Amino acid sequence: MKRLLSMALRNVGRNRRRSLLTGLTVFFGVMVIVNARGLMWGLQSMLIEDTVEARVGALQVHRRGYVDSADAAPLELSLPADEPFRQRLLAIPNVAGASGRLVINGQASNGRAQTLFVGRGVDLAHELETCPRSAVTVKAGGSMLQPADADAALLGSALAGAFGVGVGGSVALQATSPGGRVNSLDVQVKGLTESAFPFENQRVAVLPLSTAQGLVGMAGRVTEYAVRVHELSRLEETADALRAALGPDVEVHTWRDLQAFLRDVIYRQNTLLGGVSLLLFVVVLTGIINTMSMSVFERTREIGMLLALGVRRRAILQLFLLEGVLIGLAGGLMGALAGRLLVGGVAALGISFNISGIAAVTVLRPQVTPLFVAAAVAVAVSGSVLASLWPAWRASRLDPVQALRS
Amino acid sequence: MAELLQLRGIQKTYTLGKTEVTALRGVDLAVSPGEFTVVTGPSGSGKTTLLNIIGCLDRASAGTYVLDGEDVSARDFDALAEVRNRKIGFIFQGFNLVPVFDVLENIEFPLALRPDVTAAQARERARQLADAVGLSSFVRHRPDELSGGQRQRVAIARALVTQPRLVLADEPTANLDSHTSEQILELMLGLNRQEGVTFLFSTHDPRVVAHAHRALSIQDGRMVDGALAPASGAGH
Ligand SMILES: Nc1ncnc2c1ncn2[C@@H]1O[C@H](COP(=O)(O)OP(=O)(O)O)[C@@H](O)[C@H]1O
Ligand SMILES: [Mg+2]
Repeated sequence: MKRLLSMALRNVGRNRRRSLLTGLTVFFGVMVIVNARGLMWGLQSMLIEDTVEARVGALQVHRRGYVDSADAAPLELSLPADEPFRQRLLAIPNVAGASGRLVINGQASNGRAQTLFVGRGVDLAHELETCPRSAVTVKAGGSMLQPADADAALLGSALAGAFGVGVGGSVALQATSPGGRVNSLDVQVKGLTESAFPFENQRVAVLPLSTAQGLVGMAGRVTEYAVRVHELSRLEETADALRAALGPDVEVHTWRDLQAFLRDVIYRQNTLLGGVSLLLFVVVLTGIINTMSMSVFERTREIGMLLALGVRRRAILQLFLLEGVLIGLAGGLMGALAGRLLVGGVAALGISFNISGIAAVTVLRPQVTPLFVAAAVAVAVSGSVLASLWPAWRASRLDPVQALRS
Repeated sequence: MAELLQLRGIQKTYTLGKTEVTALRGVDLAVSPGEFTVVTGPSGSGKTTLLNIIGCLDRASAGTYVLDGEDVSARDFDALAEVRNRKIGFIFQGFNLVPVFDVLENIEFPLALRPDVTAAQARERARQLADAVGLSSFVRHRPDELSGGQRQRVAIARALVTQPRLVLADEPTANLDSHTSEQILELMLGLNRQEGVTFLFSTHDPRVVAHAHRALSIQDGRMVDGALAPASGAGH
């Protein structure tokens, strides 16, 4: 076995240029995959963070049936806006923060024009603990709402644009209480928000919770709690713990359930990446098959000689498999190393996305898990085995008499 | 004296698509231990085919073959791998060394295939043989750093490393100049004399025939003159 390995190693070194070229395709294949995955994960975690930290929260708690009819913002499906209820949420392991919200539908107008809006009344005492980046989505020139603010609002930038209203201006908001009473209120615009999601820009007004409650006559009530978690990777188990603790009158959804659009984008990105990986895998495999076939062809006489000297057919098979694996392993390991270093380097630098007008810069940092890198190497190596199988098998089935005559 | 090998009525037919080529048409041959036998004949007469069958690389289409008291006619290829490795040494016309191995590694290779031989034993025996064929100062050279004559010496040493009952050489001097051929032949004759190694080889070269104990001639797949009278060199 040692001799076989040493023979295989030296044979790989024999046609150095060809082995190098084949190894390089594996190298680039693995490196590209690791980097593409890294970029994708970086991008996805950026999108997820934007969702989880700036708007949705990791989890949301509603009265049962709310999410199915969320478009109608059903006010009769409400929860208590009190500290004991919030503490029940905070008692669950992995829960890092919770904040009540009241979501209402209504009309906004400036006296001349009017449009539909979605008002999100937020508990300013706890909102930043739960969605710490909701402040940074306020465009330069405006400011985040403060706990002392009343009759104030942050408007989506497109919503504000539709009225020609800017920071410091005012709009009239109108909404209907669950009992059917129509209320109206003038609010001062304290800032404009900008989001990657068009709906947020065009429709959403963020209000102090008390202002929203006053508009619809629902003091002491909220329609949802946004929940922050310590570890996103344990999201499902945290959701289950909340469901168990809160009972059947309440429903718990994760950001994945609530943001089907984002979930689908991520799914599509992953599918695309999978397709590209598969294509790359096939290309690299073809290269290895080609190299090993050429090697078998060139060494026909040598194989005949080995068989004549009493080498078993199985050993010939192993020899060529080993040669393919050595190329795949060397290329794969170096590709993984280079890929990992590149991902680390780009992550350290960061790719900046400066979404126009937002004070904070969003930075994409590619990331890969050690497991993914190891899996890429494993796939490269098993791919090399697969690709060498046929040429190696042919080598082992050669007729020594014919091979020696060639 | 017990025969080392005995062929009876050996025939070999190759099928090439629809046409059949008959390479051997009933060969009878017996070789005793310690003999130095050459087979001569024109190109295409069946020398290589005969040696391949004797070397258990190929199987006869008809006839029986008893090697060292054992009927090997019906054994399959993998079962014969062991027979080849233990009983037969091969010397090829084109040397056929392992290009990535040095001289010692090439010589020890067939011995190192055996599970019952340690690496140190194989190495020791390879050194002895490198000495015997006059290559002791080239043991670390690779085949491509050696002349044709030196390569064939490596091949001879490799053929002998397992102490085989029989060494087969198919036109071992065909790729060498006449002076080098002479030296290679001397080497084989010496090994035959001193160690009692049984040689059976094929050649074109009439000067080689003069040295053999026994010269056989094959033509069109048949032995002619059964066994020629031992040549004058038989008394060496
Ligand atoms: N694999 C094969 N397929 C078909 N014909 C073959 C094959 N090997 C040898 N022959 C034929 O068998 C005959 C004997 O060939 P060979 O044993 O090589 O003769 P020699 O070694 O004396 O030159 C020739 O006619 C040759 O063409
Ligand atoms: Mg021949």
